[in-house]
Amino acid sequence: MSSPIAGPSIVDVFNLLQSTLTELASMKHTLAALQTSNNVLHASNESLKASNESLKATIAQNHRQVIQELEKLRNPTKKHYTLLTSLPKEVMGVIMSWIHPQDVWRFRRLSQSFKQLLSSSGFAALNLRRFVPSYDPLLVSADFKDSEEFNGWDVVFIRAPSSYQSEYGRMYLTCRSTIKVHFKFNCPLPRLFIPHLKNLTALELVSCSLTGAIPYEIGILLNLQTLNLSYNSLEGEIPSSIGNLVNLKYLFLFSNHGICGVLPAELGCLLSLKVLDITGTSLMGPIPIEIDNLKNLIILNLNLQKNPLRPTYLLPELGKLSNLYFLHLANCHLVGTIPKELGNQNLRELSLLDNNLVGQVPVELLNIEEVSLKGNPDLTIPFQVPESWSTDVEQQRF
Amino acid sequence: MVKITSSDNQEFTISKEIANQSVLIKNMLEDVGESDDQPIPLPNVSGAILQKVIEYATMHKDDPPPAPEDETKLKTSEDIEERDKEFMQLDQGTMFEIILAANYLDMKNLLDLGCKTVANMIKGKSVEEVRKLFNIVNDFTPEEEEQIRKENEWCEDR
Repeated sequence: MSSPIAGPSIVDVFNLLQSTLTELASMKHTLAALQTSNNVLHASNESLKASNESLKATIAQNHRQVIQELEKLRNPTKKHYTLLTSLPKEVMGVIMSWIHPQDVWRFRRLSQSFKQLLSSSGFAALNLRRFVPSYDPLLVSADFKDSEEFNGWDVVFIRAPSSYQSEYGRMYLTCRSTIKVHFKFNCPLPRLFIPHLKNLTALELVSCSLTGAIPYEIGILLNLQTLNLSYNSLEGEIPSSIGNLVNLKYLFLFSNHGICGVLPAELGCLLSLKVLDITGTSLMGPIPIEIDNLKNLIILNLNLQKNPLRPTYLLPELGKLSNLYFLHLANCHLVGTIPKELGNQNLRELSLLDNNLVGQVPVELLNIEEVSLKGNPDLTIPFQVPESWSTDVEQQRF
Repeated sequence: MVKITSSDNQEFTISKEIANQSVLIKNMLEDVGESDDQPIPLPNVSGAILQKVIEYATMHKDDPPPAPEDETKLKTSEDIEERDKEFMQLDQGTMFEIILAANYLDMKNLLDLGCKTVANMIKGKSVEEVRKLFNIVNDFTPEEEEQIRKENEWCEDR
């Protein structure tokens, strides 16, 4: 007779369990074997790669020898004839330094020794000295060093190969206080300039088709007051090092659709900040609570993507920014209610267009001259809406 | 007067103001003192080249001393006096020998002239033209050359 409980007996279950365990064990074994053979394959692949590389090097070496031998055979009489290439390296450097940087760079293709010479930083320094005017900071007035004259050279060397880029930075940018260029570069921000820009107060590269990320090194420009990189094709997150820029007053990164990630909390360290405009990026909320440190902030203009992990609330802390005049948070995927604190300050213009705000609009907001609340269908307004406001409920006015 | 001898033992007697245009000879003269009339050996320069170098130094013996370097004023390789341009109308071998001699004798103006002259021969030419003109052997593999071409975007390789 079977047990009163329907279904398989204990023995059946036990047998099933045991056979499953055996199966698992054998699977584990197979997996281990597979892994080992994978490792072996990987190793042999690596060694194949290495031997391929060394073969390539040998071929290049042979190629050179054959060419030299051929050359000897071809020019047997030229044995005692002094050639350009028999001049000492420093003399070759002096000769080539008389040729414009952008013209001389292509001569790296002449031969190995030319490539080595022309790629060196020593050569770049000599070459630059011939072509880019230097100035005596003691004799020349301050506005001269930032004059248009240098813009042309900035344009040339922002795209330059690394040896020129760093030498140009070292020789010509250490005294500069502004770099302001309009040119379609189609290249990343010149990372190698940055260590030499310690005196820079304004970096303005607007509509320059800059690509790539904002370099982490940006955080060493401690004297920077204006950073304007708007209308470019920058990508990636805003580096946390931005928090070092305690003298920064104006930060414009608008219209860089590739800039993404969460709005960094380090923005709260920019204690001198007056204007923050990061519209037209792919940055996500929430607005960091540290924003309440920015007591000097006059204009805050954001539009933020929706963060799938954390909702973006309209922080009451924004009400503590006593200098804030213009608060524009259209299209920021804001949720929750409007804090009444926003009405307790000097705010003149508040835009909360196209968000998901709910609840009653606090009466304190009547202190603000211009308010835009359109595109928040779940808001209710328990008072007469001033004519200077724009809301979804205008029809309620009369 | 100063006596100098070349690598092939030719002896030249030159005035002191000519000799002093070479920093090397000037320093040697200061070291050995006035009284010594032993010729100064210049084992790195042949008689034929030394002859040309002395010709250049004689041509420039009455030049005013060089003005202090004005860093803010840029010079170009086109700034060459007409008489120097004529002087440099030489075959390549002699020209490079003179540059080597100027480097060895430490004659800044002559070295400068030589370097600028060669630079002017290179300027505006294609890589292939320069290789041909100066017998420069292309020792790159095709892959290496292609790689450099790719890195040349900055200068728009011709």
